[in-house]
Amino acid sequence: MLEINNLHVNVGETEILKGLNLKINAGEVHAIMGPNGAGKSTLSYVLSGRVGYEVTKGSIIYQGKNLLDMEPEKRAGEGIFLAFQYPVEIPGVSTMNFLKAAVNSVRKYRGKKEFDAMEFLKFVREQTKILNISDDMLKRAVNVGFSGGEKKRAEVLQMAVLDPILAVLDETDSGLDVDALRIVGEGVTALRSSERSMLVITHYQRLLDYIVPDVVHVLASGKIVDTGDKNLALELEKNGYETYSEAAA
Amino acid sequence: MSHVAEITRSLINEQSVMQFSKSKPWLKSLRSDGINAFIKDGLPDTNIENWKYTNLNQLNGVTGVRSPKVVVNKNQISWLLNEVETNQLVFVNGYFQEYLSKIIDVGQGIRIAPLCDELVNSDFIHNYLGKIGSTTGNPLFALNTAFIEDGCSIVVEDCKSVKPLEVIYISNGSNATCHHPRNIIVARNNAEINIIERHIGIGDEVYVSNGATEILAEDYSTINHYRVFDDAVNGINLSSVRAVVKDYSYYNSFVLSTGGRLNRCEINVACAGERANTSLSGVYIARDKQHMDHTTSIEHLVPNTTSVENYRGALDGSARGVFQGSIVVAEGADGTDGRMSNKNLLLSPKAEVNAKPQLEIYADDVQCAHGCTTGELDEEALFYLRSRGISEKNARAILVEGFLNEAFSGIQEQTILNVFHKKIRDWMVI
Repeated sequence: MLEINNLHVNVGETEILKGLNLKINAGEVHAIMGPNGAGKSTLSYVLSGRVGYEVTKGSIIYQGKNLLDMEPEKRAGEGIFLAFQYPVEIPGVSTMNFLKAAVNSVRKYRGKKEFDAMEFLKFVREQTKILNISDDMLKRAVNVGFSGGEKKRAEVLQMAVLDPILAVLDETDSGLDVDALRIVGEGVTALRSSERSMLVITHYQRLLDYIVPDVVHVLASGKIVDTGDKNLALELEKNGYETYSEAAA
Repeated sequence: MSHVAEITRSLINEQSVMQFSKSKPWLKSLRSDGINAFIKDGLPDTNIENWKYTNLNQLNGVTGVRSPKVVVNKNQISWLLNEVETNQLVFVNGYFQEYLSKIIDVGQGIRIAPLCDELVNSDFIHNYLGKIGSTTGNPLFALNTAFIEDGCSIVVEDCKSVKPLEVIYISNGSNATCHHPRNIIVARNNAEINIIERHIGIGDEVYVSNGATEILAEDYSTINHYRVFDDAVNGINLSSVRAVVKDYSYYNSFVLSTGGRLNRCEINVACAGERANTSLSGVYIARDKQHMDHTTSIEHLVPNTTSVENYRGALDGSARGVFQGSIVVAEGADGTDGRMSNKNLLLSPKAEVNAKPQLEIYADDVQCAHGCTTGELDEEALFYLRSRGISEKNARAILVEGFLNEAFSGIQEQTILNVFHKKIRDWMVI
């Protein structure tokens, strides 16, 4: 489903990813853990097509296609979704209108009929119930004045309605208290399916209590330096990343 | 002789040959005050501080000749408030068009009429006309006064509120002629008025619409004044509003400018009574070589008055936007609360904005704030939208729309809010 080969990425003059390899099969949940500055967020931005991340070497093949050739909106249409670590505030644009524009854009791309206002309302309400998102929140401007928990819940709502094939969650647990973490974790888990893969980027093990991964990788100094099952995450929680940093250096 | 001086002369010549001989003496004298004040000041040039960024040399070729009476068909008119029962007035080149208009609120303390009728039939309007605004130091207002002939007049007595009044001003340009519609809006004690004005143009010839509006909100009254400037491609629209707000009253102005070659929309409000309030909101969106100037001044004359001002602009192509806002707090006007915000988006490297906020404070216990920003679209937000599948073009439109819509968050009337939002959306998709 996703195959990353020997990926080298520069941000400005600095090389951040230095030969990263990663393979994710359909329906698998992979976690990427690693110390600050290892390149975790860079990986998520390269996957979603943000400008300013220059691929100098290597390839990303997604469902048999060259992902790096695609504009961000095309990637979304093809089923890639990034849950942002810091969701962007957009004053003046209501969450509801934003969601409708997004959903109808990807539906159009996928050759499905666009929703009218009533159909969309019905569709979105099915999802908001699960994530404990009020109608009032949908009326407010996108992420403006949202608490940390509300922002992350809104990200998961977007993920749910956009129906991705590969969801990348970039430190979705950051800034969450215990209750918000549970809601977000359960929300994401509910979206697991045999056709949907997930790449969960996190610094801490706690999110993985809810979203139990099939594979855990350690990313340090721009490379995957270790891979294991969910127990690897527990070990990291206990022992930290120090040994990897030394190894990579 | 400079262009400006030439145009001044031709405007004066035109006034001298206008046939106003049958008018009432007070009206004659009002018009001659207007022309004298205009002769004294002349058409403003860019040496005048208030006209620094808007050069009326663009009026080059304007003769000053009064625009002719022309007939417009009913099917050339579309009403913004279609689904609501409204009073409707239509003016073409400044002249009232009875066969296109519909006045449903009549009698019992409500007076809605074309100014030409008020000027002929009684002296009632003499109580207000020329008494709210001043020709001194306002050359365009003075020029309008020199040519007072027709316009919209609405006076609402005690405790009355009227159905929304929609006024359409149509300019049908020919040979760079001018018209000077003059309006009066008066809310007596406790009255409420909602008025929506739309300025449109037919054809692609140059015309000048030099409108002036005098507004008086007496005690405990509310006036909501909505205006849409949709002038034709070569239209020049100059407008001056002077509003006086008395005790516990509100003057709320919402302006949306999208059309015309040159638009100067000037508003001057005096908070003249205890707890008077004014809020001025505006959006200007321009492309190609359009020039849009929004100049406001708010005077806080007595204690405990408030003003809120929020103007936003988006400029594309080689368009130029001007925002000048001044807040003056008079001596003794303690407890004043005045807030001004102006934000601009530049959508092309050739677009330009000149913003000039000004505070003059002569009282001690005052809260005043102003802020101006000019920037480009937020790349981070753009990426966020695109990462959700929205095309770059649509993402830009959504962001610009959202940015501009913020200026109109104070519109309570959903129907009108929808009209403003739709106008902005229509501009985005062109």
